[in-house]
Amino acid sequence: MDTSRVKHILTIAIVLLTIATAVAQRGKPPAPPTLPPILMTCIHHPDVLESKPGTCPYCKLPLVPVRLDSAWMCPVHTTVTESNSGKCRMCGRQLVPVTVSLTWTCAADRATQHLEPGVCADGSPRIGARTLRAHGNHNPQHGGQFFMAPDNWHHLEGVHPSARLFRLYIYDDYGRPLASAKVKDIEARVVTKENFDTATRKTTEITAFPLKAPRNRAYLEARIDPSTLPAEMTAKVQFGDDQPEYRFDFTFPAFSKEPATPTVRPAVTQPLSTPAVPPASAPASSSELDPLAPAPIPTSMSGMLEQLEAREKQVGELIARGDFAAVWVPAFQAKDIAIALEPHVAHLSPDKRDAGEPALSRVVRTAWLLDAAGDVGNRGQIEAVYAAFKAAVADALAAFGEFR
Amino acid sequence: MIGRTAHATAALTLIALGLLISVEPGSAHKPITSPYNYNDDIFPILRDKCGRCHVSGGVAPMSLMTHAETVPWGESIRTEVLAGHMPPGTVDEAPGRFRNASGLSPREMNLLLTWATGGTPIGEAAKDPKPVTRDTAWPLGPPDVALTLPAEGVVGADDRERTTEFIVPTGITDRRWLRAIDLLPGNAAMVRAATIAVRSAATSGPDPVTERVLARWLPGEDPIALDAGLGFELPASAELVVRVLYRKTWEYERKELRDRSTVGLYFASGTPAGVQAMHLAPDFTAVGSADHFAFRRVLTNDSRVLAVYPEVGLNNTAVKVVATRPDRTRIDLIAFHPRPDWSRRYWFREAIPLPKGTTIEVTALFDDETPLLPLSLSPATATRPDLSSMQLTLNVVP
Repeated sequence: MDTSRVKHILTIAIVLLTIATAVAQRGKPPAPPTLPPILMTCIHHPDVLESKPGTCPYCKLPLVPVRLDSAWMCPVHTTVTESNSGKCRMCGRQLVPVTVSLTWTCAADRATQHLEPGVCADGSPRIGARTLRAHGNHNPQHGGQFFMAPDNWHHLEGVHPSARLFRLYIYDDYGRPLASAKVKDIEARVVTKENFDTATRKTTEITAFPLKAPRNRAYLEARIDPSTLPAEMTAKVQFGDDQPEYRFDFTFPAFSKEPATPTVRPAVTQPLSTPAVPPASAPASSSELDPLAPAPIPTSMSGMLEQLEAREKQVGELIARGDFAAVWVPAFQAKDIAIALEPHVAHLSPDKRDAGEPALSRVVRTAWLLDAAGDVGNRGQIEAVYAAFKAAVADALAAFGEFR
Repeated sequence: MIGRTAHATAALTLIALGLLISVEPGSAHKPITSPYNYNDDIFPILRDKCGRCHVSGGVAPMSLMTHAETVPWGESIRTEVLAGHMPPGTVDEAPGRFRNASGLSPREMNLLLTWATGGTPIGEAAKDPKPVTRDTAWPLGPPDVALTLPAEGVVGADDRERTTEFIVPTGITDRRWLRAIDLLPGNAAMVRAATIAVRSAATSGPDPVTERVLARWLPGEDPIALDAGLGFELPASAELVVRVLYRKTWEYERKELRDRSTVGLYFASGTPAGVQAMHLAPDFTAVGSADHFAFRRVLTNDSRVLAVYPEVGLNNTAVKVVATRPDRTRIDLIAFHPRPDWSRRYWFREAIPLPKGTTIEVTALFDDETPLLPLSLSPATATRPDLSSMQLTLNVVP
């Protein structure tokens, strides 16, 4: 085909596209040209993003449209959303990168969210909103250990394939690998030996190796001194010159093995909802509970207290072996038991009541803190939270001691 | 050639139509994992526990009284609740012992956190809550005497906060007793805290002073009226000293705000027992370090403790007040974190009798909660408070 014919075809195509677009937009105000494209996602699995309609590969529900954009947001005041990095104008915290969904509503019908600007029935323009998207896949994709960075956007997977090798995969907030060009800009090192001075609370690195991106690879890697299993090592990562350095504590009970297909671990993808009513049956013994399996809340007071104690111990065991991402499961089970115990506070003697209700509130609060700390993989933080959780459970058990 | 061109054109037309179909606008969705929704579960909590401040025209920087207003603050709600900062004014132990120390129950806390992290669903439209407006009435009913501040309090366009002291003559020429003292903001969006004191020499009590605190006012807190038979003394021709902390939120940046609040006085009947102030401050008994500080005071008279409040607020500080009676029995009076700007007077539900010779010990500990908090960008280390500055006051009656 010669050049003039190609130009002819393209000209006709452009004209047709223009006409088709004009027909589609008839009666509507023109959309701003800078709007990001509409993608299709799953209402339960936000990491599923497709360019065309279909069904979710995980739950088979029909995909729904969403318009996503990137922005910089205050980690606390999410109404502060800017186009560029900087500081929150309300609290001065460093803004973090986020993915937001763009929607428009009308004042008279805020429940209906539209994916484009336009005019409401009363003639007023639709009100635009940027909503923080829930996070996507929190599952390791290379057989390693997965954490979320404290900036709530970057995600990492540490992989220890052999005794002398450590790799760090970097993902965005949907578990999508970062492009190799962006990975190269990340400053990181892996620390295999360090000392922590409890008096000064300062850490001194003894052995550390810079993490570098191998040629044409979208991950960081370091050759390290030979490890012995279980291997503990810490990645210290800075995602940008104006960003703080984050710490991620990895524990590898065995060498990482690349899965044939991406690992899916449903038990840690979403928090469990609190059962409204405790089921009638309960396991025979709390000591037999699987820390990663939800269990019904016992109907008896002694059963609840026994399970509360067992869940606290399970949290400690998971932390001890470095399985931070799983900690929320027994922590939330303990939280659900604390909520189930709340109505029984009224049956306690006055002095026990004084101690009981605050202790249950602390169990709930520290369980949620464990969930947050488990995501970011900082051993110091999660151990501090666990100490508070353990003390809260102990106080609750003491308050309800007469029922044990 | 024409045929190939037509095929190509048709194909491109189909692509164009396909694009149009695929981008046909529809409703947006976001992942919902919370089984709790705003209308059924969240609004009642926010209305009852937060709605006095987080209402349109209130002192808080945002209203939480509608779903649309609340959703953008979901992450803020999560972090404030997790940090234990909101709602303010709870104590660490035995909240039931106080009249005004209730916080979130375990269930309420879990509902808020689950909703805030689970997609912030709204619930059925038919259950949309009725509009909430700020209550502008006196919580205890109209006062016996209402004293409007003699001048406006002003926070200029370039200022964020200002503390203004007003001298308010009562015009009451005889000695009276008060069962309650309250303040009604003129501009609730800027009145952040107030102390109402009476300026004159106390005629009795363990600490004769020239200025006695009658009320500590905080937004969102109803005044506590004294039980029958108790009263704060208001000397004849007394002047009130009203110190108001004004603070603008970010909503009012570069705007001038003005206030003219009113002080309400509620008279007690008869000649009640006068409520006295007992100051607890470091003295020669003080011992401690940067992380731990303690001091004590011995009661020289039989007393009943009605209330306790901190004179200063300190971040990252846990304070505990313990009374040891002469017979060696101990009672924990209060354990709390005296947060700056939230210096609340905690009223005991039942007055606590303490005989002469009781030792009251105040302990202040550096309590660094920073490592616990999910605020990943908060300072790596907490600011160390000056524990030796800790001072408290007990309200007692003989």
